[in-house]
Amino acid sequence: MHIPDGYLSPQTYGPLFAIMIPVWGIASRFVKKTLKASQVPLLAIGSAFSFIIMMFNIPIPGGTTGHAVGGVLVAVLLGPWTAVIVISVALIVQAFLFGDGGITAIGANCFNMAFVMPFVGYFIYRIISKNADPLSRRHWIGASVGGYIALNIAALLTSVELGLQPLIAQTASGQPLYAPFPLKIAVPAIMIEHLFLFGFVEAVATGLVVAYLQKTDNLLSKNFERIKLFV
Amino acid sequence: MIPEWLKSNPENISYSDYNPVLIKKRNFIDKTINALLKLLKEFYSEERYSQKDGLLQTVNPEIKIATMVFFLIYISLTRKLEILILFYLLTLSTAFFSKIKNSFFIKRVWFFIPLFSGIIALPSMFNLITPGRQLLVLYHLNEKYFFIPQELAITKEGFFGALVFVSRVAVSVSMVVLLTLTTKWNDLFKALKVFKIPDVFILVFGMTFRYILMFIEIVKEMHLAYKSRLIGALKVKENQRWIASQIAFVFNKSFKMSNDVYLAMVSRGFTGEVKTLSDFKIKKVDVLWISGAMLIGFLAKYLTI
Repeated sequence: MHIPDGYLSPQTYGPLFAIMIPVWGIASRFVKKTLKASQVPLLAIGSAFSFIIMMFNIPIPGGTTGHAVGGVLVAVLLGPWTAVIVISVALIVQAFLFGDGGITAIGANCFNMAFVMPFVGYFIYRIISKNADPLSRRHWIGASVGGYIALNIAALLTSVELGLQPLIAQTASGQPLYAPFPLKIAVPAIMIEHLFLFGFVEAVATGLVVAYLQKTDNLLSKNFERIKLFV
Repeated sequence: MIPEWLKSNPENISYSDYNPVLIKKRNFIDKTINALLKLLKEFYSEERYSQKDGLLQTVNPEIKIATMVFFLIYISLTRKLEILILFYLLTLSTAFFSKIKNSFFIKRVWFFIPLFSGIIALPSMFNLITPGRQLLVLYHLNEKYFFIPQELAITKEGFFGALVFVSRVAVSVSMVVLLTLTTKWNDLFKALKVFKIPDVFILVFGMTFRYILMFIEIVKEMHLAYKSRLIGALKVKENQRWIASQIAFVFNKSFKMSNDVYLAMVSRGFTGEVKTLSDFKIKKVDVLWISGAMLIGFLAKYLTI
């Protein structure tokens, strides 16, 4: 889902940067207020964690594997505003050092995976797990459903951003300049694999990690205090 | 005496694991370990390029990153194939003067992203997706059969569209690869200051990168430990649980560690205020680099009109 350089026209990545700049501003003010001085190591180690989640291959029935994005997991564990910063940092490090995702597309990638995805997932998780006691199944079910839906919404946004390119930028003769596929091809091509494969990977990973944290010793209550602390 | 259980045939051992044909089919453990090792290897093998004394290595990182981003935006704006080709040749010659082997540079750039872009752009050359003047008609049917399109042809618009797209991606990736190869990673993050990114985040970037390297080691060891203790195949569900518990473990570890690191930072005088040292110096090579970049920008603009 990482959009590389050259896929998006300036008319697309420009506005998405323009949206993300105030979002980053608000998020960092939020984080500063709730985390105070300890924010620096937590943000750095949290970003490294969100980078590492993408390295885990998760087996799914049928012998295939996929990796999760972890956007919703980070939002459930650290709160959505912290997730915005933490995932953005991970994406920026990826773009500059590992060539994964373009530099001009940082705005678009952060919008899809570091802003919309954690907020949508977190919102769904909160609705499902509202007033549930810390051991309730509703926590991991909520996280899992949130992961599935949020990943698919992020994928949908990605496919729409790509599919809009032939509409936005063409030469006079109709020659495409950026990602060449129109919406009616880009959207189904990207959505099918996310609806049927990666969505489940994300759901399994998010749900199982939350369930594990619920099951293991007193981490649970601490975890939920943590969440309250960061929201 | 051999115990009874050793003589019996264990039920959950899958002999397919020992089948030399099937062993090639890698499971999720091998895949993860491989991906981690590849990332580390790539990073360490590329880090040495930043220590050579080529052209780009001597340019001030802040100036370098600013010009590179300027060029990236420029490349994303241009509509002409000639300009993209010109820029590609420029990145090749810059790589040469920065003492990066061209064969390595080309392989590093093209492998994966541009190659992958080329493959996905292939279908867009046909008239079904990009209508226009036909260059090469593959077939033409007199009647339309229910799902086979009546005509399949490569169009001029589709062909040049795909060409421009792939060239743009390749030139952009070349620029980014040049930047990462010739800059030490901590200088790279420090240089982000030119975009008015607050000092706190510059520090966070650097720390994130260090912890990524550390977590890679931890995850690699966990996977190796699991692999070395496995006999036969486990069920998908058990493996999923194991992976989830490892992610949770890394999370708990990182959360605990961030507290420890914070305390360590406080005991060394950290107050929450961050100031990165700035050693902004402009040398002769920087002036040359900027004037060269401006000249190229100007010339390219002239060419576009």
